[in-house]
Amino acid sequence: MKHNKWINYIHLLGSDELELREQQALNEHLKVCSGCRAVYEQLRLDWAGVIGEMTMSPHIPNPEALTASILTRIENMDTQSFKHQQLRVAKGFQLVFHPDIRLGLQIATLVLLAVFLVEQYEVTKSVKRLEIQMHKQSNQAHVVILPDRIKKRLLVNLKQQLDKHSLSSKRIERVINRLEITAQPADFWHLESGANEGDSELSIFERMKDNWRRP
Amino acid sequence: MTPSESQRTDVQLIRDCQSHDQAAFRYLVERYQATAFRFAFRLSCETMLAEDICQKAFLRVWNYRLKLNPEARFATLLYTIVSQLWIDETRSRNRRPSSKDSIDLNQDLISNEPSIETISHNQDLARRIKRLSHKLPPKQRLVFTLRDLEDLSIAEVVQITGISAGSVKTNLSLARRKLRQQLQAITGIES
Ligand SMILES: [Zn+2]
Repeated sequence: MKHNKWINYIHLLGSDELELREQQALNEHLKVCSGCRAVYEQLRLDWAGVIGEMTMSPHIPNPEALTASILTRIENMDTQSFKHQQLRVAKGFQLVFHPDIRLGLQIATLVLLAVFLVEQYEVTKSVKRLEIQMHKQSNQAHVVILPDRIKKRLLVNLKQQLDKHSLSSKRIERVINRLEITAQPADFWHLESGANEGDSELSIFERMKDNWRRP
Repeated sequence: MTPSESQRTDVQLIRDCQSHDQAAFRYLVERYQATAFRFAFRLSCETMLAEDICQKAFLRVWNYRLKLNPEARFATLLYTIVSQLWIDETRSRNRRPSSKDSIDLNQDLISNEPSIETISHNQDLARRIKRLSHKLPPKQRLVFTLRDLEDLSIAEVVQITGISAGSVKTNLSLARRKLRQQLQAITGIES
């Protein structure tokens, strides 16, 4: 079995399968190994003789018929897939125009329209309310816009208080908005400096909560 | 076929096929069906099966035409598809060894009776190929047919079979060894 590699090489001789260094190595081995040399001599029989009779070309029984058959099959396939597509589209249309489905679609459209109108009304109303409120308070309150960083911290803190005071998240939001309008810059000084952060936020919250409840 | 149409390169023909040009596809079939048939026959040694594989190969080309790279060598693609179809056929026959013929042969061609000359030529060739190579396992037969009968380079055989170059060479060497042994056995008996 040791010589298997060399026997393999011998069978690859004569074409471009062996690299130069492999050929050189084989030549060296053949010089010293009588067994492999015997195989090599044996195989100097004409390789063309071995495969020569296999390399004839077969005849296609009817080349034109073969071409025609391939093209016919392709046409059939394309027509079929086109028909399938048409059928699918037709079925889709049938489904859409089925009386029951048509009625359903009409009802759904009306419901969606109603929901849209109600929502629009609500939005308009709340915007107006906000405008009036802003107008009222702009004269009496010192307006401060909270920095985002503080607003975030406040929100976290306020959310923790949510259960305690059973405020809805909408109300929490309103508290924050009101805070922006009525808080004094001094209220945030502690927050900015980082001293007693929790306390400051809490006290602000408590104060604002009271303010909020008073009216 | 006008000269200008028949002279379209493979790259142009594939591009035209991708624009759903069936005429371009016809030229491609006319140009390559002999190659596909010959290779399929050398692998299968059966005229009808070779025709069937040839047809299926072109159908596959048409179905996957949009995914083809027009710049790639078309013959290599065709060899790859035919190889796959032949391997599939060999496997499905191994699963049902009792039936010798493919169940999916195209009936259109069967009605087209080949001439006696064609039948005997192909039978003779099939006998010669089988006589020497019937002991080859599919991988060795595939590599040997591509390299020594179809005269493709090792690089192309690697590309078509998806086998590494080292493994291609090993399989090729084993196949040649078996063929030579078979030839010696036969000539030994005959002399
Ligand atoms: Zn040796």
